[in-house]
Amino acid sequence: MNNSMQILLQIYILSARELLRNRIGLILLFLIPGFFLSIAIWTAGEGALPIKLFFQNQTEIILVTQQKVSLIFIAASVSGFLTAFYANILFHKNFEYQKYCISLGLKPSLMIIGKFMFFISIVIVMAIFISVIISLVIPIEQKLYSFAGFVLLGVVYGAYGGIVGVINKDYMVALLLIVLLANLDIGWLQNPVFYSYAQETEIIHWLPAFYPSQFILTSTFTNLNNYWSVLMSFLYILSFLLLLFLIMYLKTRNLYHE
Amino acid sequence: MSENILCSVSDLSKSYGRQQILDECQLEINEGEFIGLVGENGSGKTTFLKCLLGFTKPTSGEVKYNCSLGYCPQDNVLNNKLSVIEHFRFIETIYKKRYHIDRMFVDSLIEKFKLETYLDKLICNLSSGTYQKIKLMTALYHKPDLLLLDEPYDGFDWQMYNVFWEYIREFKNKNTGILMISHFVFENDKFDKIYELKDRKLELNE
Repeated sequence: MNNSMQILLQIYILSARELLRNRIGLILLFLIPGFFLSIAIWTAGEGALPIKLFFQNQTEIILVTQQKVSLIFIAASVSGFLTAFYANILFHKNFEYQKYCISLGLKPSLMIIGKFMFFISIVIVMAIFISVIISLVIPIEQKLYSFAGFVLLGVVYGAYGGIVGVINKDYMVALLLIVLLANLDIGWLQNPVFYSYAQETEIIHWLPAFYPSQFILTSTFTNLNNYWSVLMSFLYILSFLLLLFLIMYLKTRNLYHE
Repeated sequence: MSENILCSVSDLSKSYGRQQILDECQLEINEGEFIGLVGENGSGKTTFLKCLLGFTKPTSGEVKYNCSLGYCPQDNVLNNKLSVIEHFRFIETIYKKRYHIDRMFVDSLIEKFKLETYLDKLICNLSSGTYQKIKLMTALYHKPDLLLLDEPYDGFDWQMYNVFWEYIREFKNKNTGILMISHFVFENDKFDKIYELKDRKLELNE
């Protein structure tokens, strides 16, 4: 194995060990979605609600029970918030140590790629966990796509959490910025019960969680394809990741001595 | 830059907003030269060192290197969730890309700094003196040509303080250039040159 691969592998393993040593954090990472989903299952009713799904050039209205809508909406909210929060910790908490390692000769690109690889793994594990819980309670029309939707949402919000984490030295400011966008976007405006009857939906379309949530809702409740949402989600992911990598590169480039 | 100059700093200035910290500082560190950097608290010594390494971007001026670096920071920058051995393994992988690692030397560092019993401990559980040893050992690990040390013996007991000076002598004898921030007047005779940061200027104390 060449040296760069060894470094990437070590960054991955050390990030995993860091997370495993934070036992309460790790438990909460899985307990919180479980708790929220249980509350949704317990409290939501069986009455049918018409909700709107957005495609590239059209909208579809479908009838779904309150429990199913709540479950998917809560799952998406929790997934978005937790991935943003975790990415913030991953990229913010030990940023000084990462800078120190770069000053000792670690290439900034390897550090960024290693951290990102581990982050993607966490997003996938969380998406599997959430998808399994949901599929035990409600029938899912396109299981693989629904799971992929949660991964897309996790990466979009994770990249946002990472950006906020590396920009702000103050952890509390970073955390509040995540709470602000996550609550506003995925925790409120992307709620199908809210936006289906909203008088103005233009702003909702521009928020980062819109396309991934539309892909999740379409895949969970219908047999329809919503490739436009996938494409737009990738566009958001690409833009956010480019911004994250650029900021990290700019913040560390002077530390690396050839 | 001439071959035996390891680091050259020219006209280095640093301001935070309107507050100027460093003003056109000049410095050259040659092979085998041991330089002390002194100054009052808050005079800008650490800022100067951070500018040298790129942690802080100078407002103007230039820093050039001609060698490998070892850096022992003053701040507690280590990852608290790693064990000591995990930190060293990671650092070794980074160093191995460019430098030869002398295992015998690394083992002697672990032995002399009495770190054997701490290798499996998490960094967050170490005392301040042991934490400092990890930072110092990280700087010495790959036998760099130039050592940049920011109060490197902070928290050491007398025995470790002497071990520290043993290594400094050993490195100096092997032609390593050393720049060290120090507060102690009684160490002054150990340095080849002493620079003082005073009124934002770096002055050579004759």
